[in-house]
Amino acid sequence: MLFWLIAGVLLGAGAIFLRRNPNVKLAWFDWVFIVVAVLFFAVAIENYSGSMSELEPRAAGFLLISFGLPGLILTAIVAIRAWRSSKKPASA
Amino acid sequence: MPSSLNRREFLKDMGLLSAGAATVAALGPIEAFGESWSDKPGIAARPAWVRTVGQPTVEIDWEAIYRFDERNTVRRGWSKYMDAEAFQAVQDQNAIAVYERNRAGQSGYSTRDIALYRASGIGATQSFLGPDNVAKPEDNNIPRWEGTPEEASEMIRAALRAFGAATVGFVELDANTEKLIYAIDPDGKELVISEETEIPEETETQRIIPKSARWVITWTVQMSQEGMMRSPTPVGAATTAMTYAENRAIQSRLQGFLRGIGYYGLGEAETNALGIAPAFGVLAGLGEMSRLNRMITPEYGPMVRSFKLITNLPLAPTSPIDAGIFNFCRSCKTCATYCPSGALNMNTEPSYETQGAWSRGGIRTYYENSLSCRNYWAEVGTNCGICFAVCPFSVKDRAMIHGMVKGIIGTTTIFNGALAELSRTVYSPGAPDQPQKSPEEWWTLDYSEFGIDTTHGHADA
Repeated sequence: MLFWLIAGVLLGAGAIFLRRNPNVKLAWFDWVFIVVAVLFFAVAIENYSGSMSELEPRAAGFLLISFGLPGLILTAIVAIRAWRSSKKPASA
Repeated sequence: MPSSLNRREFLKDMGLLSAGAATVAALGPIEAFGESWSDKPGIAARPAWVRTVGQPTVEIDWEAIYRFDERNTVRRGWSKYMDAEAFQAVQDQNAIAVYERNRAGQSGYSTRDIALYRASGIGATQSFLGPDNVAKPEDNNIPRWEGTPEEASEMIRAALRAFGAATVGFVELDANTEKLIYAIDPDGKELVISEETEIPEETETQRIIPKSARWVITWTVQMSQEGMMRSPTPVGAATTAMTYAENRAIQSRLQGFLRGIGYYGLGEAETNALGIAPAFGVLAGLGEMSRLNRMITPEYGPMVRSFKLITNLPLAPTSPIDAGIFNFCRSCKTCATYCPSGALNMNTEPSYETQGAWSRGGIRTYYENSLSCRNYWAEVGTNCGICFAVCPFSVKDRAMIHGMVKGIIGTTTIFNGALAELSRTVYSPGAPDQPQKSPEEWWTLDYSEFGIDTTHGHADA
């Protein structure tokens, strides 16, 4: 339960960041990427912690990478696009 | 971009944080594919991918099935399938195997490992008629329990869970299903199904089952995955020994309970007596037949022992299931690949052809060479169990992935081969004839009672 609370707080922090940085423009597919990335992270962390509690560290590492890596890639794509959009001068 | 927050913005931000946390926290316990149990009272429904079906997934030719003499299994009739000299040699080897390995310093065969194995089988006694020290209702002038078969099934399920069983199912005996009761028990006593009497009885040569006792209660008792992962060493074998010992108490308690409500329960006179437990389990939907010739359950995989008892308490039968397990065995073959004695069947398709007189036949399955299996037991001095340990269904339930994978297996067969390969890579990295986990490490675990997770698979745990 604590994990899910922390994940929720992180999501909320992300929403605050976007609200407080109006010059960051995201396309609709960026939002799809964010949702999918969050799902990947959630599955990766849940399976990592679940597998560790099952005393299966090999499975834990495998699942963390299998689900975490696609989440990281999607997050990186969105972050780069957001960074680039924030650097563009605001149009009149 | 605001450089500082005013009170209104601060409250908005806190609202966003709280909403995020509350939403995810609320969604968190809901797991994929319905694997998580709901919080409704009573017996939780199984996940959607465990479908109830009219016939078991293993094909049965009831015409070819007859009441088997239990003494023809290799378990009891080992000597029948070898010449006297060879049999004596494996017996001699069996007697010294664990001590030889101990002296050679082999991992998993330390003195404490052997002691654990020997001590784990100690427990209650069991008998056909059960204990008579629970008062019958008439002894105290109270009415016997009466209810519908559905209420009776629910009651027995609850009682068995309290006594230590994991899952519970029911089979009604008919002209076919009563063929799964042995003709002869392991000790040579004839099991007679009699229309002549309403009272069960045990004589010097017979055990009498009244024809009016038409219901079989079948249940599983969990085994410890962490223990079995140390197979074939004595630490792994201790798990099996202890589960059988636990069940002797569970059976006796169930017999006492049935007596206390005004009925009777006829149980195993000794381990594996009375009838073919996995067959009743499959018919009752506790699991499916498998390549390792034991029942694999959706909840615990093969990490259970299955048991049965005949009663005159009318019960509502439960249905067989299809969770994709028997189909998965077609392409998996992990158990057969890892079997150090080569006893398990490597054919892709199941068959009616047995590999020896130790199997009765009549079902289209993966018949094994039980003699090779048993002789390997003598070689290592335990009851092996590697096939249980490496089965992809032998997983716990704390990681979400297991529900997702079982859901895929229960829905489609196209990923079966890949999932089996993944399972071997991730969960069974050890050599085929070696423990998949360190026996020494087992002694350092802060593990649960009996090494099992009794919350696994239940709603109100």
